[in-house]
Amino acid sequence: MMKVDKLPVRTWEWLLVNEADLRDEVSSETHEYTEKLPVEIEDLGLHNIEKSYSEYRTGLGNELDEVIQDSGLKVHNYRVKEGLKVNTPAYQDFDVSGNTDRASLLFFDVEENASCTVIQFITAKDGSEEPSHFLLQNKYHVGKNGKLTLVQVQNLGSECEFVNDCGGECDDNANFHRIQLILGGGKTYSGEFCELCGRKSSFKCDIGYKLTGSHRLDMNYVANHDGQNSESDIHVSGVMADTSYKLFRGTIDFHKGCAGAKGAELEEVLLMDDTIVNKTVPLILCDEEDVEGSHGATIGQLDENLIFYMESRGIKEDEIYALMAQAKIDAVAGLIEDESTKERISRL
Amino acid sequence: MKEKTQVEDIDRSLYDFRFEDADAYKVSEGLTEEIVSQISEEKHDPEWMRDFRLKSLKIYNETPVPNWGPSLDGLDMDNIVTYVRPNTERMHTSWEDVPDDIKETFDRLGIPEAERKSLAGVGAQYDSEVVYHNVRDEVAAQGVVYTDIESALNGEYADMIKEHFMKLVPPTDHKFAALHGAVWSGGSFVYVPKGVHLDIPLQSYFRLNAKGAGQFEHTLIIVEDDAYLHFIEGCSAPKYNVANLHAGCVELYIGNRSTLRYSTIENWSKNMYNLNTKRAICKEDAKIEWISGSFGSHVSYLYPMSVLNGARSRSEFTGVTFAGEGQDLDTGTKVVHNAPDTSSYVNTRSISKSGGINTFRSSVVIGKNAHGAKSAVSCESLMVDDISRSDTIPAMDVRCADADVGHEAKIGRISDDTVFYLMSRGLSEEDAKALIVRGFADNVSKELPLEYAVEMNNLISLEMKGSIG
Repeated sequence: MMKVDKLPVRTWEWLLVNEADLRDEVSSETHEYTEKLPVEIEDLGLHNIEKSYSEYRTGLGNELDEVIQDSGLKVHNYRVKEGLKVNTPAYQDFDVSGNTDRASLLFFDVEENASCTVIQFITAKDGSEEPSHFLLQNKYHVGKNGKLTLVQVQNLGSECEFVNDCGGECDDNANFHRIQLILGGGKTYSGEFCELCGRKSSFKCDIGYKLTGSHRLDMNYVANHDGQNSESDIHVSGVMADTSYKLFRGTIDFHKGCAGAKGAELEEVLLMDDTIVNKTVPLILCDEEDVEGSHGATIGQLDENLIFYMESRGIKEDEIYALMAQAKIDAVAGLIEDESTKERISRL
Repeated sequence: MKEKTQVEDIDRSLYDFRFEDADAYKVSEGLTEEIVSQISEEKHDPEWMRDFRLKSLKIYNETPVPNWGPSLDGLDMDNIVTYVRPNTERMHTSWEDVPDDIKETFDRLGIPEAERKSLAGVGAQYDSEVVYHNVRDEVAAQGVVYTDIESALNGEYADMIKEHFMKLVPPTDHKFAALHGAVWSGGSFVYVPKGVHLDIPLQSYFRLNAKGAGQFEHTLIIVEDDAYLHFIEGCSAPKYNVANLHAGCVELYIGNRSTLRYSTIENWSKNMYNLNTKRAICKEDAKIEWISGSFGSHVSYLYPMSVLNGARSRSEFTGVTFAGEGQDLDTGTKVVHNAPDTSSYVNTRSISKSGGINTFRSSVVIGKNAHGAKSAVSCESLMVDDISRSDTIPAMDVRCADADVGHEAKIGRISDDTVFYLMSRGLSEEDAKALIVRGFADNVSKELPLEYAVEMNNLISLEMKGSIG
């Protein structure tokens, strides 16, 4: 097995949070996905993995990257040229039906003063509960004053192992915004490593998850602050039921020289059953004096005042929990600007 | 451009004095079965303890060094003397009987004076042995036992020691717990009977004088039902240019509806590896209050742990850690909620300066049966300059739906606006910053008895002397 989702700084082994185990092979079969691209986003086609691609770090980490490099997989490259503001999103659909073992590597190069939104649906269209494995790796470079928004909606079968890796760099005043909805799956590994190397670069991450059945979700998100006045904001909101398992690792890493940087992370988890396992490890690493970092976590049941208020309006307690669970997902979905995507999510 | 502040190191001259060759006997450097047997013989261990030591040594040899936390590369057990007996044959109950050089050491540290003024009993350990132990007559009359652990081990409390010794912190816990099990020496045993409420604290003070030595004292406290105890632990050592090691162990058993407050002002010298283990277990409605000030050591691994085994039991941890030049202090706490309606509250502050490294590390575990458990963790870090480092590594593991867990952490620098405001009210910049840092650490100082709060504030004031450069 290879070690992925490694915590940037290790802690007690008995907590079993320092890393996750993942099979040490990657399918060499490229996943055929469908897409609808606006004309401003150039499709540069499939290319061999270049050194520049490999150098972008990701949340799942180096061991996975090394296996990917040896796999013979090709990278699908996309580019938004300098100055282009793309108002229409790119839609990409990954159908992960049963008995498949595939992978997709994508690279987005958003040049100076350019911006675009990419919306990815990762679903099992046939509703298959057959075992499947899918690796999706998105890497990106956002140029000066550029902006990339990556929306990912995941609704997979309970026998699907999904490896969702991501990482890239933001130049001066560039912004990367990742919105992620995790609605179904068997085992999900999800990672992000955002290198904020530019002055005033920023990373925003909004994650909503609803874990049911025996879904295992293992996450590792890192905001790496190198640029002065860089900013990061990681907000995770989820609901856990049945025998689901979740481990969220979130790291704000302030490096020497990132004066004026700010980082915040917040996790809110609503727990529905005593059979869940919920782990949270929010790190702040600080090698620079002039920064502001904070993290917070609220884990448990609903606030008793809220329940009292709702009950006084005639809503039963189990209905209140169902409402609030859906509200958490809706709140993240509400951040998506594209109406057709919101509508599609509501149908899932 | 922001103004930079220079904060001086703590003046440790109060603690740095030393007397040469105060020892009467010591084992060779290193850690072997022969050395462990020698220590056991020297201490007249019962047979079970001798076996326990040898088993612990085996566990130590089989257990790897932690692969997390500060580097322990500078600690070579082949160079550590694990047992040093000072030049006194036995423990005394009067300071007049303690050898002059040792008595002068504790006089300078203010221990006899504190005993007279504000303590119910005092234990004083010098290197590997307790040299003084005394408890006020009226306290002893209530049935309170406060003695060195060796006396208890061979006296009327032998069965109680055997029943509890390293049961809460087994040698298998980690490598340095195993080391402790093999070479422990000295420490205190406290027994508070049912219903006894001690209004004034007991204090043990540990002084490590010998160069290149280790101190491995064991503190075992049993508080029966409906009782109260405040126990204070102090420690210091003079500075040497070789590594010294402290791997003590504290085990606290707290009965139903009882409260134990355990206060520590740790001020080891900057060549010390402080790898201490502290743990408390609480029965129903019991409460453990940890008050912890960490100022010294070269490297620290220190995480007092609370096991909340009884319904409605509670844990409070209040700590401050001050890491200066050459210090890598990894401190924090662990809480396990193992019963319904248990609660824990953690409030820590850390200050990093002059290249010091601070790490706050914690874990909160809410077990499946801890229905209605509540936990709140708050940690704040202050970076005083741009050559220091501060990390926050908390972890939460929740397995119960109706738990309520909150966590918040902040990291930042001294606010320019606050300094400006205070200066506009007539304070110098140095005084303004000293006031802010003292205020930042007041979560601990306000929980300490007055004399100790004053000592802690003095330490901070010394830090801030000449702070503007």
